[in-house]
Amino acid sequence: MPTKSSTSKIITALFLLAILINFIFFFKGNNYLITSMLIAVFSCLPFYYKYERRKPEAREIIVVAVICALAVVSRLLFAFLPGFKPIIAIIIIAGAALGKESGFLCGSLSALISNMFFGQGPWSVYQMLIWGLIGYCAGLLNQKDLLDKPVIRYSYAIICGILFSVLIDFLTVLGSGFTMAKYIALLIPALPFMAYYAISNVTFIFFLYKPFMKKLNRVKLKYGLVDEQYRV
Amino acid sequence: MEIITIKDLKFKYILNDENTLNGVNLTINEGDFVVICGDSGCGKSTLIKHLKKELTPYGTREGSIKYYNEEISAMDLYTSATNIGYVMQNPDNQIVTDKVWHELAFGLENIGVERQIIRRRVAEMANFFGIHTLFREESDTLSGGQKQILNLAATMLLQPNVLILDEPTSQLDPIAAVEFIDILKKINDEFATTIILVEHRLEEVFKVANKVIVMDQGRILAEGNQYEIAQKVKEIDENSTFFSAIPTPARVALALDLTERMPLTIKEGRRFLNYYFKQPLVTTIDKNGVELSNEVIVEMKNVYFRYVKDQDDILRGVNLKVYKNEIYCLLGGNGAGKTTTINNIAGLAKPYRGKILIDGIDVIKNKSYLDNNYLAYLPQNPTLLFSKDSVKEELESDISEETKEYLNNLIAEFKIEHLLGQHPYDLSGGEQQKVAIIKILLQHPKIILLDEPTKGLDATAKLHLANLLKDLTTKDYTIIIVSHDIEFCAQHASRCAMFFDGEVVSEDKPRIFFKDNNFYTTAAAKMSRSIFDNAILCEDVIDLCQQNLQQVK
Amino acid sequence: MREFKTFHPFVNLLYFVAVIFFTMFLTHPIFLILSFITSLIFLIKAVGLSEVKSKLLYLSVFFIVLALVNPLFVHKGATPLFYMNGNAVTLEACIYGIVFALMLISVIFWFFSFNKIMTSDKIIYVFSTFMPTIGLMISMILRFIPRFQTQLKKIIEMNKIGDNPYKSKSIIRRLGVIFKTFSILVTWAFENSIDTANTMKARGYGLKNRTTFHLYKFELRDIIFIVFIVVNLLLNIYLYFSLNMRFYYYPEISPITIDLGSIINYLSYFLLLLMPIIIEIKEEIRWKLLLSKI
Repeated sequence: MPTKSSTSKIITALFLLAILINFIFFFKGNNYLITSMLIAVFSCLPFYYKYERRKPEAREIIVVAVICALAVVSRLLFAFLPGFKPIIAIIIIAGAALGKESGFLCGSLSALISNMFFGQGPWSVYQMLIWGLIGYCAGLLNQKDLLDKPVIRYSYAIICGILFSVLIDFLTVLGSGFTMAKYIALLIPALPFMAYYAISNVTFIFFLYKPFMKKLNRVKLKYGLVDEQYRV
Repeated sequence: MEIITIKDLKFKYILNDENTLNGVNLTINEGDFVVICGDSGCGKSTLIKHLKKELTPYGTREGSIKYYNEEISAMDLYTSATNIGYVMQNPDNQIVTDKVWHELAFGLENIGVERQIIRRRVAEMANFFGIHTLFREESDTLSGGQKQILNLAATMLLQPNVLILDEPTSQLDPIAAVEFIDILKKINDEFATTIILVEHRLEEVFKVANKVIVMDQGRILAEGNQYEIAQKVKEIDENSTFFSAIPTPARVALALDLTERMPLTIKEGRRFLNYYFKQPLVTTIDKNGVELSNEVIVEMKNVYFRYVKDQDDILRGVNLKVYKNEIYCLLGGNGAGKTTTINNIAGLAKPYRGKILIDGIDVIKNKSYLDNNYLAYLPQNPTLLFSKDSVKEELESDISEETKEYLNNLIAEFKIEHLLGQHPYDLSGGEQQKVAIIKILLQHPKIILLDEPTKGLDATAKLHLANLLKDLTTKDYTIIIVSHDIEFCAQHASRCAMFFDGEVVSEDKPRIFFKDNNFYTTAAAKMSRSIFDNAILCEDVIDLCQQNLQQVK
Repeated sequence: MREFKTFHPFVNLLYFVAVIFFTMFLTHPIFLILSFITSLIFLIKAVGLSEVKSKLLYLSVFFIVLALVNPLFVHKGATPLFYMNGNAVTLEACIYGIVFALMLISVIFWFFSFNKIMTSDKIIYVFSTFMPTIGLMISMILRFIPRFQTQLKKIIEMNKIGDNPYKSKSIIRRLGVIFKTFSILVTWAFENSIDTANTMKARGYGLKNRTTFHLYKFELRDIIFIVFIVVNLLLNIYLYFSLNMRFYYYPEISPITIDLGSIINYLSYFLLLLMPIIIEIKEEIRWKLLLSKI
């Protein structure tokens, strides 16, 4: 089965690429914003679809749902420090503990639902993809237990803190005609924020990673979720 | 016809050394209403989990469990879902989706019923259970009792032949619990659904069941209808805590050996007393309860409180006095303002009028008086305190070296050495409570506030708790309890207060308090009202009856 | 927007997708202004004037920054207004900056309205139609959130007794208690979820051929609305390309054409945008008439 599913993944990817290339030519490259938004939406779908097709068990979807709800609720708990939120750290941990697919779901659904409460915007779409990918890559990295190494763990947390601003600013600039100068001009004021997010991620990873992993592992054990198959 | 047959069932959990089930043999017939009882750890929950394939615990097993002629372990998911329903203890944990309608439809979706049929079945069931008005509500906005009824309805929608319930009322307040049992009775009567109910609160279920099973140490100790069971349990051990779980009227009759007219309900109990003790010679008990200290430790003077400026008052002139080293119980229905009162005492809410004096000091003005852990609060659910992965870590987190010695003393005193290595969530309710109380005592409080401490506890655990609390009062602690548990308060409080409509309407020693109440009182008081003067406990009634019998002789 | 809210979720979704797509796709100033005006009216009708006002301040800051960034860094365009550090600040770049900012603000407004109209139920429904498991998961998350919030409140209350650490002057102590609170919540949430998984299995979750139940009805008016959107969409795209309504800002701003064809195009686009508001007003009038007859 694994070969078949990866073939289907490649086919989906090629198909999407074809649509997007069409789009770009059709609109003569002038509508980067809408194109990128469509890319974001369409890139989320294969992940969802694959998860859907796998028919996950009750315990798997419950753990993901609990993590997403915790991620959203954590925003309230840390409300007194704006921007200082554990969501990204939680998503990284989820990916590391539950594997890449569940990691993607955790990130993506946390974004969707937290925006349902705190306001949807054009950013929601990108957020769903990027947060999803943060969880996915955490799962990918941890397939070989790489996140157990503090260096990799903290570097990853820092990258995740910067990623979102870098990308959103890029898209904003892209939308109105890309120039490097404009991009840099937008990025410079964003630098302190990026540093702040990176610090916040590192802090949360420092405090939450080990205890959270321990709790998740215990739950996995209680569910009988220890089988290797759930980490792929 | 037999619907469930268990033969020689033995079971051992992977991590345990001893068998949890030691050869259980049991037959349940179609349409039976079976109640299984026994102390925590007797194996009753493990037993009924074996009746539902998806919940069967991991471990080694011998013997057979059959549903009609089918081995339950070989049952497929569809058959299991549509034939055997299972309702658990905690109402909240069983709600899966965000809307009531979705929750009701959930099971039917799973077994692949079409939308139109779901709509009709859901409508029928919502009407039957009287939750149709809640249909479009968010499931979280329901009360505990409503949630449990929703869980029951959601399970019944799959039209099971057997309905298994694991202490479904233990988290509900008494009124909701009675309502729930009534619905079970209705299901049993109208659909002939076989019901297997695990319960330790027997007062209500005793009269509806047609078969009672008592378990002990993984075995069936006694089996039969209520009358037989009551008799058998008495024969086995009259002083067991389990005997104290039998409804008061039956216990009185058994203690007096007048069992040919064994009463189960209060009505029957009154008839029983009237029959045997028409004109009693002795009618009063001359026990006076605990001596109270003169020192007032908490005093509320005309306290008014509301959460929001434009809302109605929650507390409307509360006056109460708590003396030093007493066990003060605050009774009253849901939403009467008991918890708000406690919050006001604890400084979590601030009254807009009135005074709260602790040790004679106005703590509204001197808020810092409460800063040094003067007051401690034990929540209804002790897990609210737990964040660590073992009991040892939990207790040892943020304490100083000096307290460590004190901690070790407490651990020895409370006899929880064997629990230290375990995860706090793996403990039973009673054990969790003990750990929580130790955690609280480490802060050296003077006053301990307990919110519904008996919720979900069985008779043994309640007795342990009562002894523990009494012990604490001798060590200079003052205890304030908020509770629905009339029987517990009658037995163990030094004083009781009734809270109603935002104020304390009566406050007295339990004997006087419950004697004067006509409806909101113990089963013994209801049963012996106008026959005896001040019998409020089962023991009181038995005592008076015996005295009278002797007098007659 | 009570009335529009009662339409089938797919109608709501299709409308927003069409409108947001057009707002981002059509950079023609007339189209943009139409979209901006309607998005504002829609939002005011959907959430009330006071809430829009409260958002206005930061959105105007956002608007100004966006509008300023473009002329400062893009020096394309034929009409230089003045020179800064040797670089021309052009009229075209200024105008494009404003247009672009207007577009983003309109899209944000549309998303705000989307959030109000597409309630969680509808989002779950839309997901469930294509991906039932994901739909169920969203429903579960939405069930957990209020529950966790209640629990969080209880834990905080507990810890507040005595010297309230949540209001401590020491940030370390404050963070300490917050982490502890979170840890209690996380443990509790995971431990209790085991029961939930069991109850799902007990009620047959995991069987093949799972169906999805919902309370939405697809009525005639939904079909009409969908047909209207699709026809309008096709008409607009046809007119847009056949009349060559494509608008250029560089090197020179194209002239705004006003002839029969383009007016039809503007109007049909405006009609698409306004449809929910028209329905709303129609319903309001109907209710008033109904009441006056009694």
